[in-house]
Parts: sequence; C-alpha cells; structure tokens
Amino acid sequence: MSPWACRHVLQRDAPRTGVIIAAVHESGKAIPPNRAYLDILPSLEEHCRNSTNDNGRKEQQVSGIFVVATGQDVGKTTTSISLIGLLTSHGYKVGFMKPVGQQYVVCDGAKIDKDAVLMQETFNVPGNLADMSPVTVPRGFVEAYLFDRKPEPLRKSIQEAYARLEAVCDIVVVEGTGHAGVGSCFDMSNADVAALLGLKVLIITEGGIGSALDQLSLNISLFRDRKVEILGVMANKVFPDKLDRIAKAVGQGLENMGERFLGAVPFEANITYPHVGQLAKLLNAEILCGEEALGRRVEHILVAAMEPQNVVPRIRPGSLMITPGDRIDNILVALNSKLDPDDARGRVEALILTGGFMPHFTIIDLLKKSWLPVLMCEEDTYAVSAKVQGKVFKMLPEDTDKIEMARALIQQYIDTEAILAVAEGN
Amino acid sequence: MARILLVDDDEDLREALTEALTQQGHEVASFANAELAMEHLPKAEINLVITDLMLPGIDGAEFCRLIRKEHGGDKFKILMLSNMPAEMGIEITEKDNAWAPTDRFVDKRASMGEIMAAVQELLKCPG
Repeated sequence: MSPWACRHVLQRDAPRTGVIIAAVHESGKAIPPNRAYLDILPSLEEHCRNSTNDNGRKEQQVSGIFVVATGQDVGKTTTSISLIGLLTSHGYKVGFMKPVGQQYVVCDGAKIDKDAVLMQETFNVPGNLADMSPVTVPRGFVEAYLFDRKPEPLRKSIQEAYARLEAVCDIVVVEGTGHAGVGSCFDMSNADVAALLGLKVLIITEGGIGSALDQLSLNISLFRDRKVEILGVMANKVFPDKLDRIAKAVGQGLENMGERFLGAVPFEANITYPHVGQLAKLLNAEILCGEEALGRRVEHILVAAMEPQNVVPRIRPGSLMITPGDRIDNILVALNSKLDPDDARGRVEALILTGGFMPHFTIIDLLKKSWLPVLMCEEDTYAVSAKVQGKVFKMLPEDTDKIEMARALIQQYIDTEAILAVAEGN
Repeated sequence: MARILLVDDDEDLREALTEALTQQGHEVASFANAELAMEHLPKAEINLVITDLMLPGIDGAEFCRLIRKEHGGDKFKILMLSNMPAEMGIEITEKDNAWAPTDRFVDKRASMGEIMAAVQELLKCPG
C-alpha cells in the first residue's frame, strides 16, 4: 500500500486518528523514510485497509477476481456469470473484463470478445465494451508477434482499460482464456495478466481426481511463478453421485499443495441444453418452418435411423429428432408424438432433416401446421448428430433461468464467503 | 421480348400458354417434364421459368431447387403454377422459399389474364 494512498485516506480521517497522523497529513508531503515513519507505517497500512469513505465502503483500490480454468469448456463463463450475479445480489457494482479475447465479434468497428458482449447484454455491466475487451487476437497475430515481440503495448492496453473499469465499479470479474498458460506465446498468459493487474485467482477444474489434480498442479505452478495469489479452487460439472468423494479427495489434494478448496459443483444438465436456434447456427441449417420456436430448448437427442416402431419407444421429454429428410415414416412419428399430452415419455420438440432431402410439399404443409421447428441440413445423419452431440453450448443473455440456476449452484456448493471477502478488500 | 422456359405435363395448357406468351412477343421453349427442361436450360439465355408443381418424375419444387442451386438466384425469375395446394387447403407463401424457391406462385385455375399479368410483373423486375 503506497504511503500516498494512505495519506489521502488519513487526511479525511485525521480527527479520529490522533496527533502523529495529524503531523503526517499537515506536511502535505511524503515524509522521508525515518524511524518514526517506518514505525507508524504498518499502522498506516492497517488503517488504510480498515478505513471507510463517507458511504461506509472500504477506501482502497477496487478489487477484482481473476477467473481461470484448467482447460476449455470447464465452466469459466458460467462461473463468471454466477459470480456477477452473486456479487450484484450483495449490493456490489460489478464489472467484467476479458483481457485477452480469441473469439470476438465486431461492434461499432471494434473487435470485442464474445464473452464481454454476453456479460453486457445479460447484466448491463458498467463500463464500455472496448475496456471490457482491450486485447483481441485475430488470426495470424501470434505468428506475427513471435517475430516482432512487443508486449508493452498489450500490457498498457490491459492496464489502462482495467483502470477505467475500476473507476466505475466496486469489483471487476476478470475472465481468463483457457488454462494458466494460454497466451504465453505472446507474453500474455493468464498468469501474466493476473500478475499485471495484481489480482487473486479463482481456478476452476473439471470433475475428477487424478487428472484434475495433475492439471491443477501445472496451473498453480505458473501462477506461483508469477507471484499470483490463488484465492481458491472449485471443481465444476462433477457427476452428482461422485460429488462427496471427489470433493473430499480434491480438497485433500489441494491441501497437500497448500491451496484452498472452495467446493465442488455438481453437473446440471439443464444448464447445457441448447436452443433450436443455436443448433441452426451450429449446423448452418436452413429453417424450413417454426421460426417462432427457435428459442425452444431440447434436452435429448434421438437419431431416428431405424424403423418407426423402434423410434417411438426412444422418444423422451424434449427430444430432438435427427432423421434423413426422405424418412417420411419417422417424420410422421415426430408429428404424432404429441397425441397424448399426458404421456410421460414426452414428445419430439424439434426436427432436423438431413441429407438435403426435402419432403413432399404435402408433408411440409403438415410440419408447418405443427408445433415443430424444422431444420434442413445437407450433411448426412451421422455428421449432423456427431456435431450436435460433441458441442458444448454456451449461455445466451436470454437464458435467464440457466443464469439463475448457475448462480444458485455456486451459492449452494461453493465457499462464497471467500469470494465476498475479496470484494471487501481482503 | 423475353426467353421463357415452360414446364408442364398438361399438353393443352402448354399449348395455350405458349400461344398467349408468343402473342406477347416472347420466345417460348416448352417441355413436359423437368428433366428435359434442365437439359435445355444451360443452352439458352432464359429470362423466366414457368413451371407446374405436380410434374412426373422430379416435381416442380425440386426442379426449382435444382436450377436455383445450379444457376443461382439472379439469372432468371421463376413462376410456379398449380391448383393442387389450393385444392388441398395448402397455402404457399414467401416463407416457403426453402422448399420452393420461386419468385411468384399463381393458382393454375386463375384466368389467362392473371397469369399474363404475373408474367409481365416478373419480367419487369430486374433479374
């Protein structure tokens, strides 16, 4: 803590702190280091940490939390969303930053990371988009950087953007990209950025024991090397029936490493289910009918490559049927799956027709008159189902129920006191 | 004067439409099915395709999809004629472009005057 910062606080609080402090602030200058100054410096720092401004909030540097995972699709963005929700519910003005973005969109001529756009659209976080996404990495950037290595402009962009966010927020959730070392190739690893911003790190790991702890060990090493303090580790997407066992084992493993375990969040399938619109985008599919139902969520994939009598027993609630466009028999099964609304087996909620086969217009007319959104793909059934099954679908701003679900999971399973303590400046 | 490709398996209707279009000063190539029409299409600079929906073999909707895919959307206009959808209570709108990429759909039971008016309208639009 800089003496200059302390003096600013002390000037305001001088009447409460006594003669010695009055001598410090009356000079209006930094006192050269002498024994008296050094003697009182620890108490000055302690005072600064505990002092409050007129609004009762801690008078100190705006805090932030750096969120990073041990890999991709572990749940960083979902956790960031949950943290913003949690901190906002405790009365904090929460900002968001993605210091280094690799997947970006163009907004008003500027390249903005998709996660920054998501956060602004979901939470209307303070600050402008350019500050939330100061550095984006387009194709070819790394190769060019390797032969013209200049980290300072990147560092400066991130620092200045963070400073502008600090001015309008109580706390900033900063989301990294991938694991601790991602970005090392251009001197902007997550560990480098966390160190640059002076932030504590929350590490998210996937559910598991051995490989999870191994990956954590690697990640923690890099953070330690950069002298970044680790707030704690949370495990995400843990199979519910293994939750206690994994939580206990990973907790012990982290204790062995000298790090804190914040808890394990069970896998919640509802958070992962996509909308039909997301599927259409993934598959670059043509929408045959049912545009008004593109927001419908599907929960189960049914590849109807067999005879209709064998398709029927496989229909589940929220089924997405994938079938070749010339399988009129299975299309009719989908259309008839709503016959009994009380049937617990559920019904087909969306249809993907593959192979580029267009049904007869009389069948199309039945589909148009039904509740089904229908997508058309040129690719064959195998290619389409592989793409759909292998994809991790990200949250969208309109997924308010998913967002609330994720926030509730964090609240229930994670030591949020540790996170809130960061917001309090500890 | 426009070059028009006409596809309909109804010989009487083909003759009537060909005569009406020729009187308007247009050049008409007519075929009884889509397969023959597709062979002719690349050989001529066509401005307008008039097709029935219910054709033997490849139906009119598939014919439209195939020629759009092969020749693009800007090379010529497509007018589809059919009484079948109306008789079945099926409404075809511009939202049906995925399965029937036409520029205009006219019920075949319409008068020759209405059909000619649709032809005129399509030929006036920039291709």
